Amino acid sequence: MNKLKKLGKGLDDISYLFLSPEQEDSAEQEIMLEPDKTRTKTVEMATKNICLIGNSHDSRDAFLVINLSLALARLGMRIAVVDMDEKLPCVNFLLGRANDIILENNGQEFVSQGPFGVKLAGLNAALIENMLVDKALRTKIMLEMKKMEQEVDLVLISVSQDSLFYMNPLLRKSIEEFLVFVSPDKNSMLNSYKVIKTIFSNNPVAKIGTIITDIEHMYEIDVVFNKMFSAVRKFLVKELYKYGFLFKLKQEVNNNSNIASFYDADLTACISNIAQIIILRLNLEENVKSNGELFKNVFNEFGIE
Amino acid sequence: MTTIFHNAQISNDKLREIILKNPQTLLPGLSFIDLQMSTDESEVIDFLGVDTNGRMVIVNFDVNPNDQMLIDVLSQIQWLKKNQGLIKRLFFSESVDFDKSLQIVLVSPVFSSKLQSAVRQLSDKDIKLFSFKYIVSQSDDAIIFDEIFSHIKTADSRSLKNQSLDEQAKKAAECSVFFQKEQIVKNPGLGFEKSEELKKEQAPLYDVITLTPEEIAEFMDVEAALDQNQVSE
Repeated sequence: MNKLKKLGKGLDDISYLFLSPEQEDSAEQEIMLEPDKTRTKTVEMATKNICLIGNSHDSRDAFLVINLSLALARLGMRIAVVDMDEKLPCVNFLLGRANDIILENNGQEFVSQGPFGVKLAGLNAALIENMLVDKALRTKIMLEMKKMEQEVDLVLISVSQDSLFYMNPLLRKSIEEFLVFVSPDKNSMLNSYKVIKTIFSNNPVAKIGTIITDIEHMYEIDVVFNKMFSAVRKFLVKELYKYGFLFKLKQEVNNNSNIASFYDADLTACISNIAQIIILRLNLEENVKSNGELFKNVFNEFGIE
Repeated sequence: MTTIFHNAQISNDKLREIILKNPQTLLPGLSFIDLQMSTDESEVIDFLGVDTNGRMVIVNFDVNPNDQMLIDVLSQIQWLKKNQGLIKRLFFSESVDFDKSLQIVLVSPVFSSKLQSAVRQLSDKDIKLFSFKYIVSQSDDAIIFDEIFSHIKTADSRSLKNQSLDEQAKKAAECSVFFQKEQIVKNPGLGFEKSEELKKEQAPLYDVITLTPEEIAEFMDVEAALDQNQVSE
């Protein structure tokens, strides 16, 4: 346990768990990786899916997605993160590199195993194109994704606003909730509103929530949410849910670094709150029937059988 | 029992008949308003149609690979623009919205990589490329349409004065994708109306969403609201 670099009360530097899985004290780590071995997933247990739609092009969204997944995992959920952004920021952020399988079928595991049992997979348009022509790759990925879906309670799908345009099959599939990141900035809000409009036009019964990011002053939270809420209600005649907020990162997150080795109690509290709201909103402890075949359906829409 | 099909050459007339009877195979909601329409460039627009949104659609086909199709259709668009008044009078009774941009659908057994590269550069045009394979058995025939390229540009975003939105629209406009999407028409000349496969509403790969001026205006006062709160704080 001495290798766990404590960065404060909240975020831990656990990047080494991803980068060097075969540690000497593996038995000790086993406890960290599988915190909830006693829980077994019943047949009726649903695998729920949340799509997180980021609004930045750097690692800030990846920071939120990854730390949110870890916060949910700490609360006992079995979590998978599927990075569907073209540049795979979550994969880069967590593994410190792009997943090599994107370019070639080199025998690596497609779904990586992270701390607290969090699973991670990167799935961008380039990979989907490769899957169309490489049958072995296609079979491998589809099997691993199916297995991953069966083993987790919640799949967090991360996608940027730009990538969403060609990831539209996602919008029509069984995703419980879309969480759209919104910054207190006119352009960002317009872009986020456009994303919300796109989702509703593809999926009129979608549930959409907002996470207000880059907050510097508390008053910004209500101003931004109320504006988004009123616009959605006025023009789209739909509801919008509030999932929380995230303070502006005081430090730049290096795109090539692993989990950011800085600590901020406010950020930790924000992410923890969002995780708790997700659990409450989705009733993750309830056993609800679900087909758990989201990615099979998504692949089918891209012509991958 | 398995039916064995073989590749076969299709005639111009046969392909024209198939497309005429199955417009929705190429574009959901497409209906034709004219065919074999001559332009003054000694060219012929094979089909002129209109989609459910009132957009005019040019459908040209060739039974042989032909890169010239792209040049032809671009010159036909120019002719349609030049003769807009005439076109409006001709198709006044049809539900055509002449303010909307044209869509282009090209059908050919195969498209050269040069043509495919060229259409990717036409980011201001809505273009779909369909390759097809015509197959016959002893008693039956079928045609497989394969949508190999689709580019749908965003609606005019010039009203959005703000630069980042323009960039967003530009990126969306550049979001051309090559993909496989096959539509099989069995007994294309005869049994189309019985084909359940084709009765399904075909959803587009992606819908392009634009904001209305009212929606944009709604967000114009955000910064003022934020400043106001800052002062009061």
